[in-house]
Amino acid sequence: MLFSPFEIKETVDMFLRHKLDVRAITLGISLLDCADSSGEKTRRRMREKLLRIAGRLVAVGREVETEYGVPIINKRVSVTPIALVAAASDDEDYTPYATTLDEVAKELGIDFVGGFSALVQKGYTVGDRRLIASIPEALANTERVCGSVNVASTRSGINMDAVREMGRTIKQAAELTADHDGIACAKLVVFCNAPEDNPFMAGAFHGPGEPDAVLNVGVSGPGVVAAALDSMHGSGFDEVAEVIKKTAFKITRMGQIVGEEAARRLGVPFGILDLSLAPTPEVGDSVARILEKLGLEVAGTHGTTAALALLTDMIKKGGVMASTHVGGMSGAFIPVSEDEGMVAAVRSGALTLDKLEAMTCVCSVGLDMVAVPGDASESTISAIIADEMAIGMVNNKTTAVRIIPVPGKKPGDWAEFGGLLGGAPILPTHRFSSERFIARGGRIPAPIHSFRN
Amino acid sequence: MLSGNFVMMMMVDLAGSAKPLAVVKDELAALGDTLDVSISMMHERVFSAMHRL
Repeated sequence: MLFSPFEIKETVDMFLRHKLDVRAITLGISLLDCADSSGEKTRRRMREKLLRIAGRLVAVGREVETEYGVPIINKRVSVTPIALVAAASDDEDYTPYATTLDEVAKELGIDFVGGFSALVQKGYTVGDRRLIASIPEALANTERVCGSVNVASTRSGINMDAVREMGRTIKQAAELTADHDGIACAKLVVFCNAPEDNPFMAGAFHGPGEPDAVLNVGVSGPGVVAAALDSMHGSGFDEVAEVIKKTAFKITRMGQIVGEEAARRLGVPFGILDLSLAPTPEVGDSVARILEKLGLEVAGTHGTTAALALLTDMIKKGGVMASTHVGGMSGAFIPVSEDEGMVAAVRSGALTLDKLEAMTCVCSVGLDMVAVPGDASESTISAIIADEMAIGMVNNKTTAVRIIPVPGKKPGDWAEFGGLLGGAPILPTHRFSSERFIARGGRIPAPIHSFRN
Repeated sequence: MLSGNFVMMMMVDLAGSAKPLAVVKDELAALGDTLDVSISMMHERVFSAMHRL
């Protein structure tokens, strides 16, 4: 027999009972060849190229989904950071570029397009400045466009001018969408060491070192890992680690064949597979619940960082062997609003902003979908970003901040973002000021171990 | 019996199928509803990828 009944049942259960899916196939498309001194012409070229290359993305995704019996939840597009594409033009306001991306996303039938982005870890170009200044309006006036700004890296240090500016930008974006709990901020990520091939939103963009078009795939499956741990009561960490690793291997192999097939049908190269465990607000699709299955009463209590470190590392180890090219974030995501277990942990008082920060030292991204009071100052938001960037810079890992200062809301209130973005209780920030620290500006130099040459 | 469920498994070759795969799947799912069982279909490559090196 080709497969044993147990193997078949295990696989079928993963999809039917434990919500395994391919979370996103993301087509990265370079827009560098669309740049022109006329902004209008640039946007026309962008539109033509995106429709030409991504025109069949949704149809191909559905074909593969039907044929393989594997759900592909999101079909998305990431593009060259718009700061690079728009820089040649005289445009001062880059909002129309976001509008073009939004229109194309709607025409293609995709939920998000990522890349309203700038890379400023070492300093600004004119295009970078204009893009960042346009972010609040651009994200407030579009539905499907995601933006990101890389303000730090292990090689370059932390651009503290940009950190200060992002505090202001996030506050403005929240105010402009105050009637929707500041939802523009849910589409904006501040990065350290941003990966150029990340398939996950809101931080996806198509890096300048990438080919003209490439398909990157993000798998998921927190429910599958949680289910695998059901039979592990009383087992030591060695055995637990093995089970997580083997499960990650299986999930990743599935993502690899689905990604390869979709890329082949689209006529573009397969880029990378991102192994991240990405939760959704649905019950049974939570990373926090995995941590609790490891033996914690509630995620956020003492031991959570160690549990998350084990989980993230075993996901990476199982996944690396299963895929030809691994990239993106690859680990475990810990967004608060998108994970029902994380929301419950915040509600119970076990999970605080400070504990989340500690967890980001070992997770695959950072402070993600965290709602804080609307009256948190610009410098407080900037200081939260600075802490997170420092963790990424020193530990040579990607870290990110996607934070929403929800206008008019106080700690304990509820903020609702809807759909996959979920909702979250407002977490309190520290009440002491970071104003003078953030006001300094300049650049925090790269750490000593950045000199690897 | 697997984990308390009655399970039937079948490997089928659809190369000569007169109907497209999507239609076959829909019709099987509808048949399952009338029989009060769930019928799912997945590509053999998914199982190979997960369980065979």
